Amino acid sequence: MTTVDETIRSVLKAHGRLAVDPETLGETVDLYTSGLSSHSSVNVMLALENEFDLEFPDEMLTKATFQSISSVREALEKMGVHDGA
Amino acid sequence: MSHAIGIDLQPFDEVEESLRLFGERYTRRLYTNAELRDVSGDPHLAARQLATLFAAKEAVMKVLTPSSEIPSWLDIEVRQVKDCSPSISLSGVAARLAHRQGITDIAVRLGVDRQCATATAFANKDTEGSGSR
Repeated sequence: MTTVDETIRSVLKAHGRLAVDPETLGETVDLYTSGLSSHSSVNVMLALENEFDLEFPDEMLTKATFQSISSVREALEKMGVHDGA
Repeated sequence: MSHAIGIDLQPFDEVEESLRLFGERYTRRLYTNAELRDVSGDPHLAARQLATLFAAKEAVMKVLTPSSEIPSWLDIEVRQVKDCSPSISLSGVAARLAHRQGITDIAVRLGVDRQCATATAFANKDTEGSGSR
């Protein structure tokens, strides 16, 4: 079964347009300094919504939410997304 | 009096891809109904127009330098883009941030080439008369 972390990295690879391979990123590495633009972060959000069948509430649509893989995972956990759920 | 400048560049092909992949969900999160009314029904031209709008919004976002309170993209409305000097209307969090910094007006200049849109936003900050006092 694919973990939440693997799905986030897969979405980042497909939509994040990062300068580095998301598979190699530490989970607290700053995604914006790794090449994530504001526009790409919107695509990442929409792709995550597709993957997990949810909608990010407006209050989570902040730069901080997409700052790192761990911050994305924390946002998803607040929406009830967990490994094995 | 101090000044703030924000600059952004948005490739057309990225917006075209977003429209193709996410369609109405993409436009609904980023653009106001009024902005979308001005956008062409032709997908290629629409991508160019939406990229220009996004570049303007992001340039304004940089002028506002949000930290703890982040405006929605819908809080920054960009209209009358045909003359390269659009009018900017702020609401919600964006309007509050501007008020706190003494920003009463934001000037934006747009540019386009074959591949991308650029936007430069400029604002005076009247720190003496700002709402932060």
